[in-house]
Amino acid sequence: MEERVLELLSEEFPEIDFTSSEALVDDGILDSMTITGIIATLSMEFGITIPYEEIVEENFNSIKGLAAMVERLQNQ
Amino acid sequence: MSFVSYEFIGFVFALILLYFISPVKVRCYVLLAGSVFFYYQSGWQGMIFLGVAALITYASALAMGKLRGTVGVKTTEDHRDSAFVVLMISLLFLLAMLLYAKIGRQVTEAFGKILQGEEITASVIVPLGISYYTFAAVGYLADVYWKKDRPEKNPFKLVLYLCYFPQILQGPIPKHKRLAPLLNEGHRFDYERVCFGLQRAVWGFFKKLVIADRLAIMVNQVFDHYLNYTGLIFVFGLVGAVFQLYTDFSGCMDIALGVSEVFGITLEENFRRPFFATSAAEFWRRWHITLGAWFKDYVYMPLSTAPWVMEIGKFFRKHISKSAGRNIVTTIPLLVVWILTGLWHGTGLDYVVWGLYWGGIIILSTWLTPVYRKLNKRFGLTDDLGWWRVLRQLRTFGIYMVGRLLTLPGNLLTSRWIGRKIFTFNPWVLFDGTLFNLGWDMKDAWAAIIALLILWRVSVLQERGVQIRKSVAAWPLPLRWLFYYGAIFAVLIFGIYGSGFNASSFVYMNY
Repeated sequence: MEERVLELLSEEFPEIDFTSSEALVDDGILDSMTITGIIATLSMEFGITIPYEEIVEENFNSIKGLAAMVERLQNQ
Repeated sequence: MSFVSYEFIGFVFALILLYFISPVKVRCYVLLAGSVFFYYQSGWQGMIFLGVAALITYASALAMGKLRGTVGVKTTEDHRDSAFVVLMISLLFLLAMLLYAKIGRQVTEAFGKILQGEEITASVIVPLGISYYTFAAVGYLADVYWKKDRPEKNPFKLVLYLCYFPQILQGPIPKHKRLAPLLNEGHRFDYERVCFGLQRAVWGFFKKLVIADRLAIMVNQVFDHYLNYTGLIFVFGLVGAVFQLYTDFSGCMDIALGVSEVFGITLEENFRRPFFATSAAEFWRRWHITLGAWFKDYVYMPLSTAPWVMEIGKFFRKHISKSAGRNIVTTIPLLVVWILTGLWHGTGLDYVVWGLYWGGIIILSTWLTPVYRKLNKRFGLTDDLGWWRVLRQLRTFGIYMVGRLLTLPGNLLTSRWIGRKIFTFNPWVLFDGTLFNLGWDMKDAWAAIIALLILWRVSVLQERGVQIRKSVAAWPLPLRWLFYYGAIFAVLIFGIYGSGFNASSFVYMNY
């Protein structure tokens, strides 16, 4: 899942190196508009609904966190 | 009681004394008593609004906590839907009170005209700071509903969160989860922290009294008598108006943050040198930061994840392109946020247009990001090119100036009239003394220019990461105290307190 999420987001956001940090939000690499774009991309690509409660730093700070969130929401 | 008054200075020093001589455990109640006393000075009617808002917020948060299992008897049951109903009812009441204060007079007068067939003058209570404490309450309630915060069980501590005196009149808009622990913990006396706090407050008074109130004389003269002026006078007036608003609002924030720092309570920064921003989006990440953060957390993000927005996104993705699907999901919430931001600042059409103006620029630049990236690559324009950065900073300043022109005159027709006249060719006004005859004299103009240069130098140093107060603290004792006294006397000597001029009101206190 991690590889798939990385490939997808790298294609959609070529200007961002998602592997450069484990604190993408805290380091200011992802701003609110990029986060919204990521939510839209993941929701549409994986057919999931990301509730607002899931929009927390832990889930968006790394590809690992994002992939875990997608898996969790797919299994719900 | 305005921040710019001897009463306020006396009140702060009395409260500092009371706070630090009280037992640590009751210090938060000393702050509460001080804050309630401070707010009471603006009138007892406002206290009723504040009391009702606090009561609604307290009861609703506790109810939601019980329904969602975050407070009371340990339970795994989560009545999310019922909690949502509680949230909606409480928001309805809070926002109704806010709307009453914001548009109550206009609505009453309009209804009066319809029912009685003649013009009536309605009198409506507008509690000071209602926008700020309503937003603080709404944010707290939403966080409790989303389980991002726990309900406050002690009603007095919740009231303190809502009416903490340094922030109630003009912000910063707090987040309960961050601020409440700082307020409730009794802080011990720390000499360095107290000195730093007072220094920051003096810097705030400098910005407000030496720069903002001096520029206000010229700005009011130009825009109150706009029929008498043309061309470069308007450019000069607008540049003055931009710096006036910045120094007025950020000066107030320095006073608020400085005073709060004395008590050991670090409020969130509301400004981060906005005129160094290289884009409109970055500007709003540096100007009125806590308002932007509030709209991001409680409007933009929830809307971005709303199912109906996602459906529109899917439609665009399927029928236009992947990036269009992604962009529309960003655009819809941005548009809503900017219309609301406009309405937050004022209820006239000029403020709606102002919101759409900023929203339009930010949305357009989001959509055009790939084009900008290609162009920048082609022409070798990178962020580390000094001249390119300065050019973009000037562009951002220009964008802000146009936005200021939309709301400053008070109605769009006047803004349009000035917008046309601004292009009149009259460069001689720069040299014939006209600029020193705009309600102020040459001494005032030079004092404002020198003070702005000091502000610019300080901002450059801060932008480079220099901690000025720490640097000053390392100076030899005599030099350091000479500097402190110099700063205080600069405010006392060069501050504007002339007769007939009301230095007590801050621009953002009306929002």
